[in-house]
Amino acid sequence: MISPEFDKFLEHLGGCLRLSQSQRDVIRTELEDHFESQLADLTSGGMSSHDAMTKVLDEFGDAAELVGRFSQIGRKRRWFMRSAIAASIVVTATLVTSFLMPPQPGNPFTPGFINAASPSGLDGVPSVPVPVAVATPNPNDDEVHAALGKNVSEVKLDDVTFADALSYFQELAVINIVVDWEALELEGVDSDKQVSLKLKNVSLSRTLELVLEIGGGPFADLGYQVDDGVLRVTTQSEICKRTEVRLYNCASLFERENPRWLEDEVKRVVMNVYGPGGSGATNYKAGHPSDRVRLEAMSDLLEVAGRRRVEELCRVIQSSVDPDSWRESGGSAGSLTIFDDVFVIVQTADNHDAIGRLLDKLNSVRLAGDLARSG
Amino acid sequence: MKTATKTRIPGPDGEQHMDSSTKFDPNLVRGSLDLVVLATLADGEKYGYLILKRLRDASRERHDIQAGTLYPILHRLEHDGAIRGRWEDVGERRRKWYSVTEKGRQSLQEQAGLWHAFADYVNAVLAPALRPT
Repeated sequence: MISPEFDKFLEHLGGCLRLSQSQRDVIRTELEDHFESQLADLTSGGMSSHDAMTKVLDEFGDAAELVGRFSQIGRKRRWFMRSAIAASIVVTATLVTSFLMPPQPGNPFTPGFINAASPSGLDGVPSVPVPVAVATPNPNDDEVHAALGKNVSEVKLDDVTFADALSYFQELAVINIVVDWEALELEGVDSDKQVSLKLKNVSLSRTLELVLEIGGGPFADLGYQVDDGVLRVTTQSEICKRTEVRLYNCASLFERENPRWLEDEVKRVVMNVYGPGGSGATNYKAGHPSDRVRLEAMSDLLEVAGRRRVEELCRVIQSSVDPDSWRESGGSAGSLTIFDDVFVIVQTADNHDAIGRLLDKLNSVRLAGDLARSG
Repeated sequence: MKTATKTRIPGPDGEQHMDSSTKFDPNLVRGSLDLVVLATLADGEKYGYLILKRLRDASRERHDIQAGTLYPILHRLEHDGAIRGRWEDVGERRRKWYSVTEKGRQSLQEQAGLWHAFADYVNAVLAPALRPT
């Protein structure tokens, strides 16, 4: 029987590990066996149950430290997986783009979409786009992200300490940097660890990633996040603890002009059911039964199409922005729920920024589609 | 619990500086963890707790390797193909046994060769320094 303390330890460990559920289960099962074996060994040697339990827990050490060590193995795996994911993102983006662009004439089966909150769509008037993100982006953060996106012609670090490498990076990027040495030291990071790096034509973000990978050594999983214009270097387990909720109004992404054939059909059926200029439930039963059935079928079709687009957008967000961080993928930071057209997302600040940028881009693509149609 | 014997060890100046219960400096141990884990598995498969006990016994409790250190190493070696694991039901629990692969044996040979060369080098440097003047 696993003790509540150890169970709590394993829960905490599992919650922070950025691995799949099956990988976490494997680790948990193995550690449980260790716990039981050592406990039995110590108590058979005369130690009290309480002392034995305390000793075993002590030997496992801090869960956060253990997360760092396991995550390092996962990080190598993820590096390869990300290449594959990147390829799938390109395919997904292409699919989404084609979905957002106007349907091909002559193909009446191209799925259309009506925004239920915007009946003007039925009149063929393009909906007015609204900002995608409810959350206000922080301009100070944008400046830091812009700096990280810049390329440098050459980076040359020759056996400098990790601390000096970070100072060098700060001078190169000209941004505010805070290093969470306390968290780094807990994962065994040595500020004096030697770092050597020779790069040409590389982005500052990639440079920082490499400095953190080398400086972090084989066991620590380091990362950074940008908060109010300050880049904070810390451990991934610390980053995953700092999540925030932001709301994204995605209604504008779901607005689109429907295909002409669908609009005409809707108008015709509405006319038959409600009569000329009529509307409202009072006249509903006056229409021909076949038209009522057809109207209901079309309503179902549009609802299905709407759901499909919402699901599609969820997939795009979760596969494009830090795929391993979502709880559905075994991560511990991210969750996404939908309330009407509003996406309620729990993520780290950096990932929120990335989601905002992604939605802005998708909105731009949609606007380009509207322009192409109206032009 | 085993109790380590306390044997005084002479320092370079002939003074007694350390006894045999002094734990190994983690910095000394860090670079050879893969090597000792692989070597422990070379004579047959073992599960995590057995490996840990073997290492502690072999070091006479001076290498107090922690479970939190050992398991990530085992998982990394398995990921790298140096060891492989198999599961066995033990009552209501499941136990993972590890054995060294051919790739692991090769790695063990290479690392052991380097280790001996390194030990020879350190001994060669230390010998004159420890000689009584």
